[in-house]
Amino acid sequence: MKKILNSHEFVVFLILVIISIVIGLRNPLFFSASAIFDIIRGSIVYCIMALGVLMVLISGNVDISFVAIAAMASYSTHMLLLGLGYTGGIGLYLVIAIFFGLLVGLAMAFITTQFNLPIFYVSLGYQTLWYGFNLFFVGRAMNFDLPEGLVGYYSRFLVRVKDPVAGETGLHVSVIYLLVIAIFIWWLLKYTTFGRGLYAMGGNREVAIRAGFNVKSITYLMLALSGGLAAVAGVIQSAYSRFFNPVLFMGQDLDVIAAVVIGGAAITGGRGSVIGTILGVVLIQVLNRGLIFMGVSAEWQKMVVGLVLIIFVSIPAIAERRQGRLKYFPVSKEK
Amino acid sequence: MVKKILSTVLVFTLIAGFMFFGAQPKAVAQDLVFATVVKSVAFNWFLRMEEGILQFGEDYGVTTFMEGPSVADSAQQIAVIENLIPQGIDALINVPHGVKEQEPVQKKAMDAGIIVITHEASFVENAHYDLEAFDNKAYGEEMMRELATRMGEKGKYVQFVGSLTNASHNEWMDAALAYQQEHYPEMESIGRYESKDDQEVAYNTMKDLLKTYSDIRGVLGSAAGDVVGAGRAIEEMGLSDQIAVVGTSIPSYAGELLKTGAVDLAMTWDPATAGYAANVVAYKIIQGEEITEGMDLGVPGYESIKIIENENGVPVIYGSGWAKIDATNMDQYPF
Repeated sequence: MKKILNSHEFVVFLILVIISIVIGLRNPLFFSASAIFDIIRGSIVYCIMALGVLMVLISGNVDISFVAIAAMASYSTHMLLLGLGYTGGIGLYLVIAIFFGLLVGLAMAFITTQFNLPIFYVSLGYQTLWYGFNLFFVGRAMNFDLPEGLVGYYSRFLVRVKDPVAGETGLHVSVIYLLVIAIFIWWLLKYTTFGRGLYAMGGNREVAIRAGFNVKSITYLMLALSGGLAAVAGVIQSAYSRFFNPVLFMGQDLDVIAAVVIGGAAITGGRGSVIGTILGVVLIQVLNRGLIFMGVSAEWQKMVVGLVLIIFVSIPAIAERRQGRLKYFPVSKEK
Repeated sequence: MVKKILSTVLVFTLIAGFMFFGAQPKAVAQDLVFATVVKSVAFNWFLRMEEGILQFGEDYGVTTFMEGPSVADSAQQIAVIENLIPQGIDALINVPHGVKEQEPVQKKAMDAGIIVITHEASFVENAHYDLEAFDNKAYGEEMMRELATRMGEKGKYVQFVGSLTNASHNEWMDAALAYQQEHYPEMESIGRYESKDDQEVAYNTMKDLLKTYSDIRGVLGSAAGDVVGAGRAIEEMGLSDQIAVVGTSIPSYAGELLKTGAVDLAMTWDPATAGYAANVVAYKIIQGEEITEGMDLGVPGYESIKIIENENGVPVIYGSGWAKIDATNMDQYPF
């Protein structure tokens, strides 16, 4: 119990609750089922992407190309299926997009492991490459032609509720994808050699190699999964917004990474959890949207998100200092 | 060593190959080169404009092309123009995302002897001419009249602009607001919100606004995606019949929603003719012709132009008329 209370995730949860209460005091409708469902809907896509980012961060790497992979996989899949006259639902979209995502992720792993490059360096070019691929080879226009099976997907709900104000809304079915993915990643991180290998790599790469972890194959699996998750996110987002966009998510890479960091993942590796990541995404979502509920301006909201980020990255460092174990400078401690 | 040289050669061949492959076949031995720089090349709106620009090139024997960032962003747009200036273009037609930010680079282009024409920037300071499809004030007032009729001339409404620094959007909304205050005392604006030229932002903002202001009865949109995002939110909440949505948009964006009635009226001008006309203006200036009141620029809507100097002394050319598109006549506007 004490362990839970001291965890980073609990702190994030606590702050989320406090902020929600503050917003709710100003506008009680913030606690209505429909507002909560809207926030969940807005978080699903980013949670799915963030879980891919989480693995990469845990391994001690930073990747910013996942947004472009999401755009490439979803847009290419759409244009391909449109050309084939496909009229079905989201199922085949996901299968093909995931295939693209995995493939592109594997190719990235090949580059980083073959030439022993940090993932971040490769991802800088990789992001531009795949956006460019979309614009040059696939198409430049947003495409609004949805196959029949995808029409209406945006309002397919598990539970429907009357909005307290007007109309109705609901818990979107895609929340099931998120649940399945979250449990899968949680299991991977906790119970598999792959998961332990990720933490080991992030803690100390050399030690991980000497301890017998196959760093190379871990990198392959990690980037393939991350690519696949990005693809899923891209398809779901496009289905939500009813159009496929060749520059989907452009400029949002750092927002997602920030959410994962707020959720307790260390940008230097070795730390991070599924629960924390989801809480981090939801917290940013609540901050962004809560301010409309409170009626404050967009500029102010940006500043608040920035401040929260700084506070959150400092928490683990402060905690560690207090406990007297300065993780990143073990040598100075031995003296 | 041989392997190293070989792989280096291979890499360079690959890069060179890609560059040749990507190079557009540019017409040779033509004197004039006109560049049109737009907010984003990935917007369908500007792809339609490109048709007009290329048509002009064909008609007048000028090399024309369109460039711009892949997302609407002033900093990136400025970089595009910076790169074009030393390439010896004769005219620059700029459709700035934010007018103020791009003044210095337009000045730089003028200093380099390039003819600078802006579009959607009626209070521009540094340009030879600005070209508008119509008088922004009249357009905003017309928008308000259309909205007011659909709202029964009473109730709350919200305004969307692409960016708070976008000249035309804010002029329309200023005029609409002033007209409402004068003629429809029972109507009330709850404020102006930025969609960041992103439909997803408009969607989320609209959903949250509806929870904060339960009695919204009307929406005015400025960017082509504003009414689409807001309309989606309204439709999914089942409020299509209760909220009037009027704003700038085009059928390829708003088509579905026009059919379902979630968006009541899309008002627009044809970006192709605007692009064509702006290039004609640049051409006439270079040929030493004077641009005069009542002149015919040779495309529909610009047969008899009006010229009014703005407060910065830049002559602004106005075309005549806009198109009103609803479910009944949308087939006549294939863009």
